[in-house]
Amino acid sequence: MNRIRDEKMTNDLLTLKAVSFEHEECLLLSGITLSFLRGKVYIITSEPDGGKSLLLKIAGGILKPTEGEVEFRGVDLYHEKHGKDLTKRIGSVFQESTLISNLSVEENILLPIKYLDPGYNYEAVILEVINLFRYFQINIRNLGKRPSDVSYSVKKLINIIRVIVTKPEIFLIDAPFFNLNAVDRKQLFLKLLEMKKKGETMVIATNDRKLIEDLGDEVILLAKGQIKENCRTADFFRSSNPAVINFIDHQVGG
Amino acid sequence: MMKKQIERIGRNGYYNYLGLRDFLLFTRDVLSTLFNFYSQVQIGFSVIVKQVYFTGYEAKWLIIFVALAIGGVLILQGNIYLTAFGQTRMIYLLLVTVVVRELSSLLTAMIVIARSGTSISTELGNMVVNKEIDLLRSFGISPLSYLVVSRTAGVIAAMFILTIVFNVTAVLGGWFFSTLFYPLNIEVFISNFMAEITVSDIILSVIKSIVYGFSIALISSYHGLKVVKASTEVPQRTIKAVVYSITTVVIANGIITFVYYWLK
Repeated sequence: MNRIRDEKMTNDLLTLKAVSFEHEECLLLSGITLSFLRGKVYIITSEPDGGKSLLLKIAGGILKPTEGEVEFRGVDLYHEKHGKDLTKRIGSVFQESTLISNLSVEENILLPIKYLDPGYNYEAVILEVINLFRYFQINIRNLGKRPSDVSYSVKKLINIIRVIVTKPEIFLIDAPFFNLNAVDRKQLFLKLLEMKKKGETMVIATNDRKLIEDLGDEVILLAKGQIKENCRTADFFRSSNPAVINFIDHQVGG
Repeated sequence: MMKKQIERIGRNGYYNYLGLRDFLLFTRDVLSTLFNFYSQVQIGFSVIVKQVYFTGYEAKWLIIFVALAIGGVLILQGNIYLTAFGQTRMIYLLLVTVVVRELSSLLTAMIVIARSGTSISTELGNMVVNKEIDLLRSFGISPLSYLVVSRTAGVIAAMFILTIVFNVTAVLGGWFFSTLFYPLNIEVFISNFMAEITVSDIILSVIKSIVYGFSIALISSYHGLKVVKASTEVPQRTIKAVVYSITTVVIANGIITFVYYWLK
């Protein structure tokens, strides 16, 4: 990590500079410039297919933008030699519950840690995993199962647990409540709230009003691949911006 | 009509050029990752072990069966014709030329294509569809290093071992079937065989096994990772992986054999 440049006075953790993404001659994101500061929670919201998931994938170092730069602690993730290495410091949770199908649940959880720190303390990590399993009321026996043998809801929670135990510097969580039942939603909401109180940096893509209001420090509204609003959460719900008013009325239920 | 045909040929040629260029870039990336593999060996090593187990260990009985049959048929046919000309000793030269130099690595490659080439292509294709490749990228794990290079190393190692197993079994099979015609001490058979085989024959067989193993793993991985969206692409890409692997192995066999005799 000695390659990471001295942190700027602004405390920028992740920065997107004029990011655009084009696919099959269709401009899906256009000129997105954002800064995610350490210790804050950002909510990205949009109408369905508005580019939330795409933006998170680009910010997470997974999908190279057609134009623009993504900097993590001042290092360009896509254009600098050691940029790709820094992706492991970013914890991405996808909307779909993605697990490597030919590995057990335990192997799935440990895979990024093995890569991040080959000399990791197995007992300490597995204890943390078990505690998180208990917190989310997941049967410990699931650790030995293959992903195809566990429910969608459990898969989603395992994705979140996997990212939590790797202790990333920033969490990028796409649709946290997707595929979850009411009980799991409540537990996850409380966990996210706890993480916010601990000062974790999070970027959450969601249209859920409760998440936006109770977790978000700032809200970014995307429409047609562009930022239509970027403001504090309290200001978002009082905004006179027609795009925001229309969005609140139709997507987050006024 | 003529103009349209020329346009079609030109378009196909251009797409083939783009495909070849893409594959060569992929090969370059795999080779450069291969040399930096030590940095991710802690997680890729288990993939190598699993690949050697599946490609090598689990294929052993099929290889032994085919090798025994080939060795036996060669001795059977050879004995009938060579004995008629009083050239029974030529049977050893036949074993070296046909089995060690050609068939051992070639038939092993065909079996590896059928078992491991198809499974690599299918598995990687399904991983793309299930977004598992994106997941690896999100951890900062290079899919080339974790999936392709480790599988390539595993297939090369397994091809190398299986080719040796094929050679040894075919020779022993040859001895066994010889005893059906006339009593023959195994020590005499082995010493006659060793008198015909040279170090260059063994090196040729080893080089072929390594080149074929590399080609099969590379082509199968390439086509698996070329799946974009739908699971229906997976069998299509697997078929391409098999066709291109067989073609490449046959062409490589011709080139290596030509170079061998040219150097000799």
